[in-house]
Amino acid sequence: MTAIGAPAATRFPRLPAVAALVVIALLAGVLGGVVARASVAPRPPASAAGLKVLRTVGTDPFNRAQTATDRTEIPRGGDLVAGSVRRLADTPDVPSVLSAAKDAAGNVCLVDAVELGRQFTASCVTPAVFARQGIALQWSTSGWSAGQPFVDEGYLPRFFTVVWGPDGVVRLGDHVVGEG
Amino acid sequence: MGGAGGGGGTAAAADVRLDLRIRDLQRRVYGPDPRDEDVAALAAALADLPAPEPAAQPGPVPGAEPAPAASVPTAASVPTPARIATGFVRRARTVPRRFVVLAAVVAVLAGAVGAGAGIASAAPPTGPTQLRGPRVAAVQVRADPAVLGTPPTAPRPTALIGQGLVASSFRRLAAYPAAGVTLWAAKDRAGDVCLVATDTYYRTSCADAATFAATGLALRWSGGPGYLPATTLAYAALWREGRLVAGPSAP
Repeated sequence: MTAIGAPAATRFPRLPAVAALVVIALLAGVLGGVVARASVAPRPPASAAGLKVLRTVGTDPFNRAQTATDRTEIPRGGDLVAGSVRRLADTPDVPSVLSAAKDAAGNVCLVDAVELGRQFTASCVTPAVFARQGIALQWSTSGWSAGQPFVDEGYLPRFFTVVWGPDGVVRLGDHVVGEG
Repeated sequence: MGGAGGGGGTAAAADVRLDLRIRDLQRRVYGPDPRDEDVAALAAALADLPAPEPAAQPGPVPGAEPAPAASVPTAASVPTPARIATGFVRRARTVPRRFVVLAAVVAVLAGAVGAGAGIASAAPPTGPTQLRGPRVAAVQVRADPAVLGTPPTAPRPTALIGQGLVASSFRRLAAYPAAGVTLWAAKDRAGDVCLVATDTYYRTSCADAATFAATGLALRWSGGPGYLPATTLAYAALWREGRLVAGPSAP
């Protein structure tokens, strides 16, 4: 009877089966890894949409040594660690400086400072949140319009949105009342 | 059988029928009480199987003339969709169900391991997992995030609100007279939750709902424009877990 076609199950070759299982395992593992990484990949917050790129600064400016330029706008008072402040960018048209800083607990902060750091605004997030989606900071001020820069007593409120994304890019949106 | 062209579909059906008949006969022949008629029928059915198709690049046959270098393929050697489908079905049927189950289990396990490795390789940096508020609380109030879902009521901020924030979303959380500000819950244009400190102007920290629920929102500021620089003080506010705390910011 063995001369007649044997049942399929007994003819299934073992070596190709093992090889197929290995290939399936590798493909599934790689696919699982890629999908998982994509699901936790850093991405700028939704509020960054529509903002213009101000500067690419990387995600870890704290790795470099602090310079004299970094120190010019260190926020005065408060619990932001002076030695952690790193200048990221200047805001166009207005004499304010965007910096990265850490608070006393080690959280990451995005700071906008004027008047040599005597006046500042900062938004802070945990390092994990920063790595995943960055930091967003919004504020309003007055006195400086694109048409009349550095007029300290202007009547044109100016609104800023800055996002320092996990891609290392600082994005800026600003709008001056009365300027369209 | 299985000719190329328009007869491909009929030939494929015939192939499948023959395959099914052979399998049925195999079950009987290899069953507990095989009958001679079934053995004979199986032999006959196997004899009806089509001859093996010539390989695409057959090796040299001893004693035969060598094939021309660029031989024209015959109709029988050209794979048609029907022929490919038939071959696939026939091969798929030879895969034991146990192997399919085992392959599925292996795929799931390997996928899980790969996902774990992928997440582990993208692990967040170490550091604090909670935001820091003021060391001394000058303001400490309940601040339910659900307030953002309630109908708008007075009061409204006196500061002009920029395009990045939704002016109608502002809900008052607390006044902080010593700092000259009022603290608000609000939403930005992207739908994120925001903590806003307003006087004539405002400063804001925003995060998406999931981040807000996990870590809260932390804001720091000094006296804004209009303050004399010499009198600047620093303040901090933390809105987390349904409570708002604000006070002087000190090292």
